[in-house]
Amino acid sequence: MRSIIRKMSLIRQEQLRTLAKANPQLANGYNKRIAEVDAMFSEFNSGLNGLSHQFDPMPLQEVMVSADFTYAITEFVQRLALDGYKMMEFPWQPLVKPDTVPNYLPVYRYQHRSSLDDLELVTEKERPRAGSKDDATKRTNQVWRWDKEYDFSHEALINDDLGYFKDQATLMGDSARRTLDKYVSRFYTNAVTIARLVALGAMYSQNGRLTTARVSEARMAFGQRVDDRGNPMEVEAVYLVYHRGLQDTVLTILNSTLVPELATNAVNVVNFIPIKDPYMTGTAPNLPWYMFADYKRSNVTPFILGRRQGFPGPMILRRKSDIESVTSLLGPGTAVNPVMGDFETGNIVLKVEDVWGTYVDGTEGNLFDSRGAYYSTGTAP
Amino acid sequence: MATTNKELEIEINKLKEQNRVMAQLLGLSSESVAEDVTDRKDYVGHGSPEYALFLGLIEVLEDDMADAKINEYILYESPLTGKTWRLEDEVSPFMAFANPDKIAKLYLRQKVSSLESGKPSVPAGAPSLLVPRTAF
Repeated sequence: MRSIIRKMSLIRQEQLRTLAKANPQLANGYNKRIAEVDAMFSEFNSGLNGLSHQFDPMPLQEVMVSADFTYAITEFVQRLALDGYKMMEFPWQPLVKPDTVPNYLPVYRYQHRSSLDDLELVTEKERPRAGSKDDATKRTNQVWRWDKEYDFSHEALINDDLGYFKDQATLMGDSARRTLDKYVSRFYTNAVTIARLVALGAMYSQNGRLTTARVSEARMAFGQRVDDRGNPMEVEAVYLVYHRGLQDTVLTILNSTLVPELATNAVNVVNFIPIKDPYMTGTAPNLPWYMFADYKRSNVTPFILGRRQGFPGPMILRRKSDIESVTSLLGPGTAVNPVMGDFETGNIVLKVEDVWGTYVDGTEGNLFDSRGAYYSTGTAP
Repeated sequence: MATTNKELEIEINKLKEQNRVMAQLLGLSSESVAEDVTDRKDYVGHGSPEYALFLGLIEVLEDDMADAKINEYILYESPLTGKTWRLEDEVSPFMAFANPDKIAKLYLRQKVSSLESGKPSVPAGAPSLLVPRTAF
């Protein structure tokens, strides 16, 4: 660019010199023009080098017509924060009996899990034999704190013209809920719980993939449950908890009045309430599934979830600002907007906290009562 | 030497943890080697004859084969064990079917697969039991 302008300048100067020679009476005028052309290039050159304060790059000027308004509007940049993703929900509440504990220390729960002796025939003059009573089953429950801290700079919050941080409190609440969802999912997907169900035998576990026949087997297995004295219990397999890859299978089984995988006319007597667990892992086609009892109907509680008294759900907490506004060094101060943050750095610090816990045992895993659970690896065709 | 119950519990849990770590070092999962709880009154072993009965399966032995063919039972020979099985009840589950033979065969195959797949194993990717640091 600079070279082209320089060449043009020199060409023009040479033209003016030629004209001056041809017209000596006008030589003064031509020489003045030559000096002007040279000065114009020098000014341009200095401008490119950023040296001249007088350099004006002469912004492009155009005549604006009505058609240009459309063009002008499209040049505006609009920024907009879009809604985040919808996340999969895990409605685990029916599987887990809520419990409230007074503090962070272990609490104890006792349950009768056996009946008394049957009567015995006594003959004339014979005294009945003494009956016996089994010990209550003792279980512990304990809660722990679950926290996460978030740190926002004062500048980030002030600069947020999109309201991007406005829903952070909601997201923090979501995070607490999601953590609890994963925690509950782990009650039955952890290795110890699974090993326990496997060790309890074929009435508590199998390998079959999810089909109507297998759901029926699980329901029949629940029908075989007995208490510690071997007396039949009233407990049903009510909830089917499944890997999300089994969604279509579950819907087909549930919505068909026939036996779906057998594809003809047999009436489907299998009935259950499906619960999709988004956190269960597995590789298709070997997808696990579980069946659980309803503790409200049968008093067989597969899992328990403890919460501390007075702390029924997550709380979002903010560190109180340690600064105040003053008008004189020794005068009284007034509180400032919390967005000012702390005195040292201007940071705004929040945390989300919840308190929960459950039964934990090295042998039984999280199974508060194994009689309320059934597991399948989902591997056998 | 533990002098209180609390200290004793801590000692026990240390031993449990050492046992778990040792099992992991040996390539075993301490959970997967859990022994069957056979003293429970509702215990039925995986793949056991009792489980076959529970599933409504009857093994057809060599001596019974001729009788089974005469009676036209639906038979399924397991590719896994070579055993031949029939359903205890070939009627009630399939009464409403237009082609009960075909359906009963599929049903029988699934039952045999449930029986012969043996004891489930703990998935390799199963998370460990979450034991909070202050749990005990």
